[in-house]
Amino acid sequence: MSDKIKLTIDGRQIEVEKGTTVLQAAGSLGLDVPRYCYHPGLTIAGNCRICLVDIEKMPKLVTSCTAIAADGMVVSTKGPKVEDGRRAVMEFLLANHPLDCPICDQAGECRLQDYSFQHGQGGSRFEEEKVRGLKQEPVGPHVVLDTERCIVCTRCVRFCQEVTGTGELGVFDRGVRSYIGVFPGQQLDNPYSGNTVDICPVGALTLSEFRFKKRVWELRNVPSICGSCARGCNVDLGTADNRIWRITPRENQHVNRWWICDEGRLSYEPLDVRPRLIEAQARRDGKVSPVRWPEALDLLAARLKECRPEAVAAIAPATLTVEDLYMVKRFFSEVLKSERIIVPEKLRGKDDGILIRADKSPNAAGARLLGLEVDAGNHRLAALMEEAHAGRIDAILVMTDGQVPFLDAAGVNSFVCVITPFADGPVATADLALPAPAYGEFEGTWVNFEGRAQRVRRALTPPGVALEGWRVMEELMRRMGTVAPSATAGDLLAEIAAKVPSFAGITVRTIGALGVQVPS
Amino acid sequence: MGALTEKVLTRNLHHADQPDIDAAVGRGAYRQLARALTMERDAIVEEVKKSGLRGRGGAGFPCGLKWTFMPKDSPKPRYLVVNCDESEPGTFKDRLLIERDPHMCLEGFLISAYAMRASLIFIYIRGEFVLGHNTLARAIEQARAKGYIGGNVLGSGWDIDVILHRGAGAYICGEETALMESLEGKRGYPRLKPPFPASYGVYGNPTTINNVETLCCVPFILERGSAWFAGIGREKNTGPKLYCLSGHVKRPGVYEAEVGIPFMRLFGELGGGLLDPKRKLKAVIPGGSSAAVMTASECDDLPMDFDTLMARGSMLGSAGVMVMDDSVCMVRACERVLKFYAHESCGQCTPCRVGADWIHRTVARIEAGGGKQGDLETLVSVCDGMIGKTICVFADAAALPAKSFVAKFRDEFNDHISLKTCPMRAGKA
Repeated sequence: MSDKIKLTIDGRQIEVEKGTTVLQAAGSLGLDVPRYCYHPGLTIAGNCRICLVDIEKMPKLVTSCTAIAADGMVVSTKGPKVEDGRRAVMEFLLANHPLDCPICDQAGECRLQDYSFQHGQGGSRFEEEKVRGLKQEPVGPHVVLDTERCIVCTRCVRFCQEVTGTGELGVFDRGVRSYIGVFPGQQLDNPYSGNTVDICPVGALTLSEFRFKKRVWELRNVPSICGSCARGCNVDLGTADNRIWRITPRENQHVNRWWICDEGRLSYEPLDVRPRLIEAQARRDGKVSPVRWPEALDLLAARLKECRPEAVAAIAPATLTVEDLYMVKRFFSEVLKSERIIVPEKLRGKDDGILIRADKSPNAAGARLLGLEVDAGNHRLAALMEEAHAGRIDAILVMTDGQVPFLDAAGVNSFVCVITPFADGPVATADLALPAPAYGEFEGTWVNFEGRAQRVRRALTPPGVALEGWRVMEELMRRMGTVAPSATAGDLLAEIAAKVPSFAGITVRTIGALGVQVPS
Repeated sequence: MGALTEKVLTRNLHHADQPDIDAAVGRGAYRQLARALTMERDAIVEEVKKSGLRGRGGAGFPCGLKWTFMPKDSPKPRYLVVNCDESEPGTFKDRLLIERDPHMCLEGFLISAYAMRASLIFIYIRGEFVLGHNTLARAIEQARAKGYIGGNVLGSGWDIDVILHRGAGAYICGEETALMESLEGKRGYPRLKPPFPASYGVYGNPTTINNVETLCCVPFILERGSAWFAGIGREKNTGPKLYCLSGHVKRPGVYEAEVGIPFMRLFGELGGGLLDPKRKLKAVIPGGSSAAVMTASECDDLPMDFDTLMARGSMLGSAGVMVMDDSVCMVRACERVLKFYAHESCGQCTPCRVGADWIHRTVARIEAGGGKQGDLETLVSVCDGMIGKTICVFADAAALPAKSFVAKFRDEFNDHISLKTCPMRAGKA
């Protein structure tokens, strides 16, 4: 039975599910009714009063976020009565607001600014002294509170009650003295605290790590996928000057709804700190010196050619893309005739029932779909290292961003080639080190733990000349066999879709912005 | 329709031993409860409906009709909440009832709970009412010991319990849904409506909330019949009513009279007129500070009932009648009223949180001599930005009286602005 109702909004008819609010119904018509307190991921508070609309036969203006659409309802989201109401609310909101937009991090993505632009007035009639409040108050390790900018919409309070269930925040005092704060003895220190900053519609909550770093309009937001765990949260990489300044969640109801965890949010930080490997380097006669790429690849191809199939291995973590892993597998089976590809397991903590997964590999499911089993307990990895120490392994190809449980290569008699973005870690003892793009610098496909193929995007240019793992494999295959080089990671994905049944139909296009479920 | 010729709700208040259950029972307490328990529940509701009893808390909503909003077929427990958070400035009637005749109150609560099939009564009492709380708490224990409260009340098979809960000092917690939030241990923020308490009240269960005085009328309606009750007062404005008379009046206090007693009789005969007979009556706030102020001339022929006061732009409200003589500076009086609302706004909705403070500070500035041309226009416009735009009616309760002061005593406001001081202070009035 259809539970649909019909109503008219701004002269346009629309049919919606029973129980839909007027604000949601207007939204599905593409009408952007202003809102501060309303957030689709939180319970309805109805306190900011900016979403007032005029509903026929109702004596007063009604908040559209609380009004349930009814059959035959006639709604106006515009007109003098509505505009008067909104203008009054805007004036109230700005009366005590410090209007410190020039130094406010929210400037540029502030709903007070946006709605002032749309519904406000140039001046203020408020002539009393503004109510003062707390400034630059750290309420947790990542979040700074400015109560003067706060409009007490309680989005952050509801987030901590309803999403994380931690309830650190509350409203204290009352009336115009109301302020958001942490309960005595508490800190806003839950694994999702940064989301309160995202959902804060004004500049009251800012992120310690981002505040005063960059004007938001200078950022280019590149849609991508977080690599911090197997969830694969959809994110925007806020980039400028060829670096990531912040990571914010990108709504995807199939994966992360509106949220990301703080670990993922701050996962760009090591990228700025860790030393990068910017050119290939080879160890010859105990001395490390830079080599050009063609020379490095020739050297590697030559060494691998000499290997016995049973004595060559790859360590290929599931932080690599489907494209990388696919080419590693092809190279090993077609050229080296080896199946010894170890995908290390990366577990930490527990699934938290919200977003965070214990499996810290963003592409473990992708590896499995390619027929690469994740090395449970990392026993195969340990066995390989034992053999290497005993001198029974000819060569090991290590593709890592340095966060794989990796046994020290020192004392290993095998030839070790490390393909990595970073100059720390295993590079020190490698025979050959090849620079790879770091997170944010490569493009490819990851499959999350629920089998959703998603596109991790290139937002930055790597320093020096870095080659993705799959390109390195292609180059090696060209040198040791034959393979037609792929122009892009997308082309390679098309090949994978054609050849691997688990990826049938998975293309850059079908993945789109929100990913696509792999065939079960 | 007629005047009240005897004391009803207040008839036993002067007995010092009335809070004691034996004394109260000796004077007839709980007799109507015993009778009610033998009656059909719906027959009681019907009697209350026919009596025309309207809520004494402020809104004047028909009590019996409210009771019928309780869903008949809900499997959930049903609650009666007694609103004893009397906080409206100028109001002090419920306090008197619970302090002086707690068993009359309890009998009213119990009969009402029985009629609406409630299994639990919450009494939410204003935190400052320490004596009232202690008196009620003792009365509840006595009533429990005598079998009026508890399992199988008076052998009827009906189980009822009473929980007495103290508030923590917020005016807004007298608003019925903020009260429920507070009762549940949450911050006292009024709830979005719908859902209304009858379907989603305390802990999400069907709840009816009534004022103390309202429920105290119920035993008398049963005892003497709805026709008797409906015969007191005026059409649709019936029954005995407690009026709280304060301000510049010779004998301030709580007076029981029929709904609709003419103001001049209440003030002149019962209250004894102005405190200083050489002064003149200047203004009256007829129903607690949320009610629009009335000028002396508006009070000449003024029946103090719900509908008349509503029609004349004010309200009977909680019947907190505040009398002001001509020594009062109306700007200062307005400032004092608004200070209360600025202090008590819960801060949930933007227009009220900011507006209540804004209008108070504007009037305070005018009163202090800092007023400017245009202030009054801004003030009225800010009030209009508050009215009807919030979750509860608190914003209206602050803005409407403010507008009435400005509208009715505009000259005084203008004098403050042009003289840059209070004319009374300056000796020019």
